[in-house]
Amino acid sequence: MIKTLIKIKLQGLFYRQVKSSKNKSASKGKIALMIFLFGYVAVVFCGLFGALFNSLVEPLHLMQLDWLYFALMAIIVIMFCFLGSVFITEHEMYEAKDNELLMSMPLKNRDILLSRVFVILFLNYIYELLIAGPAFVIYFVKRGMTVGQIIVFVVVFLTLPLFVLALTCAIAWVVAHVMNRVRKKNIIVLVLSIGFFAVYFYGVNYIQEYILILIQNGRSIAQAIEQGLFPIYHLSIAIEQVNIFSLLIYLVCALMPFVFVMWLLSKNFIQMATSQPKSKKIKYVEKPMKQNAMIKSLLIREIRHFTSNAMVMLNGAMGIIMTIIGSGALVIYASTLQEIVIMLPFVKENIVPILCLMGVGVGSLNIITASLISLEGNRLWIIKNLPIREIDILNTKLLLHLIMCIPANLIFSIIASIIMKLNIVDSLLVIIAPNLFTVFIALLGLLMNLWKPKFDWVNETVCVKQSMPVMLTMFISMGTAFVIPMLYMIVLSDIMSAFIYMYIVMIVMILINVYFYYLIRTWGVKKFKTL
Amino acid sequence: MLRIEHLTKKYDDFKAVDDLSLHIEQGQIYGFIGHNGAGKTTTLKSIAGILPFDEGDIYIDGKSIKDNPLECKKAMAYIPDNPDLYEYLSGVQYLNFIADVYQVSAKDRQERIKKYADLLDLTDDLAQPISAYSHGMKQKLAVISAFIHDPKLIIMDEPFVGLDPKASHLLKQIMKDVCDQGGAIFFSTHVLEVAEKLCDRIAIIKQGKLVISGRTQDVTQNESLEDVFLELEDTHD
Repeated sequence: MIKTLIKIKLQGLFYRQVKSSKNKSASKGKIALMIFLFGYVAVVFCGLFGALFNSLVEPLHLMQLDWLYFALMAIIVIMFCFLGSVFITEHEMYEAKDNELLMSMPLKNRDILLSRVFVILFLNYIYELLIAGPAFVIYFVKRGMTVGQIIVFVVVFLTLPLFVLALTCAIAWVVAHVMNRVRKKNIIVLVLSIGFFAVYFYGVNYIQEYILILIQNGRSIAQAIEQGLFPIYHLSIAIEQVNIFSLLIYLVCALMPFVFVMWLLSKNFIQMATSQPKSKKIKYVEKPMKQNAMIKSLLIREIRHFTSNAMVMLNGAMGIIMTIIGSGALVIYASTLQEIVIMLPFVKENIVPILCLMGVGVGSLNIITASLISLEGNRLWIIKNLPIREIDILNTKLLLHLIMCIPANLIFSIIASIIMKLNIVDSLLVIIAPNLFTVFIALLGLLMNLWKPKFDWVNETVCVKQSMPVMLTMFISMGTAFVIPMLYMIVLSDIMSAFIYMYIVMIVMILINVYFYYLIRTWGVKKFKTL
Repeated sequence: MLRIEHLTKKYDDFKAVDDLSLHIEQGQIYGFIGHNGAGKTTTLKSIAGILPFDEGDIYIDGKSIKDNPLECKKAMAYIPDNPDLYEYLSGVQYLNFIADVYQVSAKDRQERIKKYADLLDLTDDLAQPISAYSHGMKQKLAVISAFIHDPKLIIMDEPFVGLDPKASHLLKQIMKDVCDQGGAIFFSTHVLEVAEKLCDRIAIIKQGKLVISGRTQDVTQNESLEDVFLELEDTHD
């Protein structure tokens, strides 16, 4: 029975990625595309970690700290698996929607619990493979490994995710309890996600410096691990020296929390599976009501929907966050940037087109409209049965995109114009160009979503992350932002100045925008009626 | 009030509704009965302007839904079988949104929301997010939103599913009141006892085709509606 449960869970995990709209089975092309994308991500991560371990292996060996190589690998595995699975653990263990259905069937509670644990464990092994895989290959090629070392490495590979699982189960329990008591959970998720991205970008930018610091301070770091993280120390010694005593200490430290957490979960599974989230009831107090114009009301509805889900905001409007961060950076590094511009004649001459392109590039990350039709989901009947013109519905979706993105664009453009001391005409160009591109993406995203809407999503995050219109809009907008400067640099730089090129691009953009809006008013309205 | 003329709706090659014609006058409660997949919901969604149809036409208060969709929609309200509402809004925000679309004045919406929310025992929960509502509470909210603009015609798909006995009783009373004031109601149901007691007229649909329609007593002819329905199901198999 447990095999069937695990099979269903794993099928659910992968089926979600390739499922088509209208319950049609996934096409071979879509499966191939998903495999390609997963493969691409795996290659990128393996490459990233491979490069990191490659730069560590020799210096650590010269310092006779080979064990630190494996200790760092284990620490990265634990952090990566933890970050990758803590929210899935919360969802699978504490917020699963099928607990009551499964518990009504002739299944043992233990089997239900184990099937959930297995899915998380399976994901953790995949995450671990992305780090431990390149770490093993690099060490094997550069330093060589004995059979004993390989066996201990495999034992560590198999047991380390069990420790991570215990940790994620415990933390996810805390997260689930906190989230159940918090009213504005989307704000917390938004802040945490932005924080995570900031740490990620900071880490990626400064990784070389950190490797250098790591190598320079190898001995003190080794000492800290030896004293503070002794299970990691024993794990590393076990691999490096094939030390059975250290292996046993590590295994006890890794497996004890796992056994304890599993025992605790099995004891509390029924209570956990049947408890309802506690939320404070808000009692309605009658207040005088106000009548709004229909368009205003539609727009308020769009804004409330968009801001109700942190994941929808982050996926649709990453460019807004980047624009605001960019504006802050412009202010902080104003004098440095002014010096750079003076030092580089090409940049000085073309500062206006460069600023325009910066705005366009960051703006290409805003793809709000690409999922707004799909996000109506099974509530589409509401706006379809109400006396609202289809074009008004589509216009408010466009308007949402524009009122979200244009203020951030304006802040960036105005700050850039002031810092670079541009005249009024140049400032207008820096202000108008990114906003023309914003209009272009808004129209493109809406057309894409009208073309390929997907209403049968499991949750809104899946809708904004994995649907085809979102992918297409993202690729086309980023591609356009890339092609505009490349076309000039490779082909047109000898023929015309960057200024003239920018004016031409803007005229073309206006024409495309007019045509796209015409398409929305004609084909788009007809298409919406058939949804 | 509602005139359906030769309505045909296809999904690819499958005819979900086949040449269906029905007339519903002011003051009538019209029951629409049929097995699962008979074409009831498709018919109701076509009337509500949610689904486009292939042939025929639907007239609401003399206006074609094809030619004047906005005018027709202003005169009616639709309550679906599964009230999937905007979970990111609170109950009162949802009602205000619907009232804004129908341009209901502040005074009228305040009065109507109070009247129906008090009646259906939902007033205290109106500030709660809809995501915290039970199925029955969502159904009650959908009912209140349907009455907020005082429609002449109400289209309901299985309106009693999920409602507690008291709310069901109240809804039946509201339906009668609407019809007494010159409105009309067209609703589908699987609860034949309710249809028999509540409806002035009944229509039975099978595989997209209208099998029988008319005054309830003419359709049942001293038999129970359940017996008539089962006989018709067997006869047409």
